Order: sequence, then structure tokens, then C-alpha cells
Amino acid sequence: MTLVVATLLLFFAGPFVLWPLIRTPDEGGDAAPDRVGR
Amino acid sequence: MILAFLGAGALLAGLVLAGFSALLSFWAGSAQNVVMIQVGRRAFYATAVMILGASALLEVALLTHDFSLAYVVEHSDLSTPTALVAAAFYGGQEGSLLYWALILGVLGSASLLASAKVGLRLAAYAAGIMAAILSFFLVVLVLVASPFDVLQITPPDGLGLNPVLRDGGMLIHPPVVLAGFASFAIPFSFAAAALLAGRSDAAWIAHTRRFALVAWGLQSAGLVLGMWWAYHVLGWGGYWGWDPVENVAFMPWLATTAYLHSSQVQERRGRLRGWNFALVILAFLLVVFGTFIVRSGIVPSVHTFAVSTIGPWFFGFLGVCLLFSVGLLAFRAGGLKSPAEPAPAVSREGAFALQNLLLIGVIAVVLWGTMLPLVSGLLGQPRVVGAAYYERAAGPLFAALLALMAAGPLVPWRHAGAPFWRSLRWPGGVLALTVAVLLVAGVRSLPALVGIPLALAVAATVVYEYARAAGRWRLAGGGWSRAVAMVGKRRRRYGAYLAHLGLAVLVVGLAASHFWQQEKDVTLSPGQQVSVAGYSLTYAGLQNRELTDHSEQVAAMTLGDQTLEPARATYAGLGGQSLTHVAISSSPLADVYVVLAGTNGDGSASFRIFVNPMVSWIWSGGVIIIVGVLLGNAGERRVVVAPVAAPVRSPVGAS
Repeated sequence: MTLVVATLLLFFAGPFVLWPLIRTPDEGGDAAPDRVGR
Repeated sequence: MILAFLGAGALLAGLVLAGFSALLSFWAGSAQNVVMIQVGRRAFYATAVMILGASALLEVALLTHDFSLAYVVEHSDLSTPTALVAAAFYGGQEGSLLYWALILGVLGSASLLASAKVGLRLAAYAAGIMAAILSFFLVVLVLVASPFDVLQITPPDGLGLNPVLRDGGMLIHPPVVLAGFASFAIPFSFAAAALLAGRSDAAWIAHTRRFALVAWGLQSAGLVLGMWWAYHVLGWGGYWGWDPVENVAFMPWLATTAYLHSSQVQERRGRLRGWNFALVILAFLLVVFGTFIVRSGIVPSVHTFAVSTIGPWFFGFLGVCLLFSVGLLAFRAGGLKSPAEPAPAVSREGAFALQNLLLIGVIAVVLWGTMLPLVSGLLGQPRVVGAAYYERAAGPLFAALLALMAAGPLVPWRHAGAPFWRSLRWPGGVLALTVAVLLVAGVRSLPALVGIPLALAVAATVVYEYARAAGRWRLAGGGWSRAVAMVGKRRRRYGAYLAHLGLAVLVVGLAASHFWQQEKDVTLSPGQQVSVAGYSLTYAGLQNRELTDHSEQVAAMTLGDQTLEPARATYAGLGGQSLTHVAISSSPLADVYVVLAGTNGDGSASFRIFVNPMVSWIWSGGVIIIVGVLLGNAGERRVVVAPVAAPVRSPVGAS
């Protein structure tokens, strides 16, 4: 039961956590580089 | 029952997210991948949300008396007042670990949200370190000490909170101290991240200064509240017993006190960089060491209710943190040397370097005193040191620190000239005058003749500095708006001086109550009178009272027009455990502190009566310190950090 709850919570947290990967270049803005200068 | 599964599920999800955040943040930081750094950071925020959810569920389980949970049964019952039921959240082992993780999650998230100016890479490493620390706590919470363990059979009532904890102090002291402990992890994480990233400039100091102040402020408040609680609840007439648990809360405070001063040298002059890293790391290591001491019960302490089986886990965690920190410092040591020639001994930077040494000395004294039973036990001859050891060994160091506090604020940066030596006449004059007054008053105790005059000299320096500021304000033409602008411009400094003043007030209270305490044991029949240090008390008689969760035997005493009611409380629901309730009449001059030691069949009662001079100054001093910290820093804008040359070499690419 605990595992089921944890899996469900992770499933719901997924979009929030992975949002930087999910968003399209237009939404994120092409200006944002994917590598840091420093 | 469902609450238990939801709570345990949230903790497990939190553990997965924290582990993910730690690994990803370290990798993304070293690979300098902005997108993955953001993902790692979001995983940290999500961990904090999971912990917040688990905390809310535990609180709901406590308040709804869900006795299917072992934690609720062990730390509350139906007769416990609601506020204390809510406080049971952090009153037991598992709950206090969850509370710790909650504070770290929330403050860690705040520190990451505000980290735009330290650089993505440094912030990514900091997120990784905080997530790793959080992972450790969540492993313990999931595997070893879960607050959501379910009982096979649900009992109709719980066992209740320990009677000593059934006090208003329970609502403030433990959460403040635990929050202080947890918040030391933030400056530590950013300091270690700066070392990992090869950044020895002051950016991490500017960013974490507010969090270090939060940790220091919480720990200051927690220590004073702990003293206040011990004084009001334990009934031994004192407030500080050099108990190992008190010591381990005191040591990180000392290290952070050193850091908060020493960090100014790096911000202003680019010096003491190695010191600052070492002090922040030391403060966190002392927190972990302290938690290990409290949780393992390996040294005897009055806080035995906190003992459990998770000691070895914290020992392992301490070992990992120690190896990581010392290894990191050793690895970067070459790049932490000061860029210029040594500072003159008589200068502000010299004074701060000296205070670092003195505070490290005090930490060493306290650490050895705390560890002696452990170390000597391993050698076959267990030994415990008492208050006399700490007073003799740390007393001279405290005196030197007070002298430094009196002179230090007057010393200019770089070099002290004639104006500094002239300005010393104010604290020096107050010092000499106080010694003379005390000698005339018949005081012959050397510690009293040193401690009180030095504390007043510290106060004199603060007053002198405020008077100088007032002089500048008058010269500039006066006016309220100018006063506000002048104070606002240097609020950090004036707030710090107020904290110094608070400490001076606190030290006067400590010294007076320590050196001039009077004590008397008496047995009185109703109507009989006793006199202690000029205070006359009359015993009025005994009466019994029935309250919600306990019964009380009250022995009323009259002191002037006041009635003091020392009592013995008995908790029938907790196997007849009894506890003394102290009665205190407090004034700025002295506290009359009455403990009911026992009662007899003929209506007579035995009392232990203390007259404790100026104890209220200790609490007032604590309040002044916190007000100083708040006034000096609340709403303060970010400090501009002067760039410092001589970067540290980095093995993971340019930083």
C-alpha cells in the first residue's frame, strides 16, 4: 500500500519536476542556454 | 490507518526524489547542464512538498487521536491538552527527525530560490549536498524510525507525553532548537558547494549570511529558552548544568558566532577564507555530533527521553560528513591562502582572528568535557567532569572574549592609531570604576571581579558607539528623517552592537545569579515564617487540586502581597509519575524560587528556597540579542561583495 501511494505521488510530481525537459523551446524561450557559462 | 499509508508513502516518495535530486544536481553541476540543474532543483522542491505533506498527516493523526499509529500512542493521550498534542509532533524521536527534515526542506528550498546570484553551478552543488543530507534523514525515517508505523491492535488511549514535557516550554524550546540545528545545514551546503566548485570568493558568504544568521538567531533563542525552561521546570534553582545535550547545542552556536564575525573580514578584506569555510563546516559537524550524542545516549544526560537505537546511523552519517568535509578542505587548502601580507595584530581583522582562536578554544574545552566519559570509558576508567572543570577551563577564555568585545568594535580596519587607544578610555574607565565599586562593596570573588566589570565595559563600548553616531547625527543637522537614514545605512552594525549589549546584560545576569545565589532548606508548619536573603516567606497551608490530566498538592506561601504556589503534580494516568512545580517571584533585582520538597501528615511541608539575583537579566539579555539581530538584518538588501583575486584551481573545469 505504501509503495502504491509513493508511486502515485511520484507520478503526480513528475510533470513539475521534469517541466524543464517537457516544455517546448518556444515556451522555454530559445534564449535560455542548456549549458552554463560558469 | 489510511493516514499511515499516505504519510509513509509521502516519505518514500520524498526519499526517491531527494536521492534523484542529489545525484542529478551533482552530475548536472559538473556537466554544467542548465536544464538538468533545474530538474534537480525542482526535485528538491518536490521533496520538501512531500515532507510537508507527511508532516501535515502526522499532525492530523495526532490531533484526531488516531491510535492505530504507534507514534500517536507513545506520545499523546486523550487527557493531554490540545496544544501539547500538537507539540507531540516533535516530542518524540521519529517526529523530531521529520520536523528536522521539514525545516531543512523548507529553508533549503528558500535558499535555492534566492540563489540566482551565486551562480548555477555552485547552487547545483549546494542543492546536491542539501538533497544528500535530506536523503539521509528520509532513509532513517523510512527504514528505522518511521512516525507512521501501524500497531496490530488499536488501543483505546495513548501512553501520553512525558510529564516533564507537559509544559508551555514544550511549545517553544524544542521547535526553536531543532529548527536552529536543521538550518546550520544551509550555510554548510553552500560552503561545501563553493569548495567543490573551486570558488573561494565571498559570494557564498553573501548568499548564506542571512541563513547563518537565522541558524544563529534560532540557536541563541533556543539556548536561552532551554535555560528558561530548565529553570522553571526542573526545580534545582539553576538554568545551565553543562549537561552533554546543553553542550552540544552550545558548540555550533560558538562556531557560528565566530563565523558571523570572521566572515566580515573576508567580505571587507578578502582574508580568513580558510577560517570561514572551516567554521561553517565545523558548526554543521558539531550539529551532527550533537544529534548523535543526544540520540545514542552514549554519554549520561538529563535528556534521556531522547535516547534510541538510531545512534549508529548518526555515527555513520557523522563519519561520512567528517570525511567529506575534511577531504574537501584539504583538497582546496592551497587556494584558500590570504592574498596579501599578514594583517597587523592591532586591527579589526586581527581582533576577529583572535576571537576565532578564543572561540575555538572554548569549543575544544566543551567538546573534551562532553566526550570525556566516552573516551575515558573506552580506556576502561569512565570519568565525568562537572561544572568546575568548564568554569576553570573556559572561564579565562570567556573573560578574554569579553575583553575583546569591549575593545574590538573600537578597532579600525587595517591599522589602529592614536584615536583607538584614546577611545579605550571609555570601556577602560567603566571597567576600573566597576572593579572599585565591587571591591568597596566587599566582593572578593575573582571571577565576579572580572566577569561583571568586563560585561559593563562591553556595554560602555556599545553606548560610546551609539553616542558617537548621535554626535554625527547632530553635526549633520539632526531631524528624524536623517536619523532613520543614518541608522538604516549602518543597520547591520547597530543591530550587532545591540546584540553585544544584550550579551553584556545576559552575562551580568549569569554572573550575579551564579556568584550570589542563596539557598535554604526548611520545614514549616502552617503560619510559620522563614527569611532568606532578606525575603520573608510565610507558609499558609496545603491544598489539593484536581486538573484535567493530573492532581496537584499545593503548598501556598505568602511573600509580601504575593502568594506563591509551589506544588507536586501526580499523573495517575502515567503510572503515578510525579513532578515538582516551582513557584517563582521574579523582579529585576532577584528571583525568589520556591520548591516543594515534601509534605508531612501534620500539614507541615519541606521547602527548598533559593534567592537568585538578577536572573531576569538573562532572559532580557536574550531578548535584546534577538531584537538586535532582527533590527540589524530584517529586510536588509544583499550586501555587495568585493571581488577577490587569487581563484582556486578547479579539477572539474572552469567555475
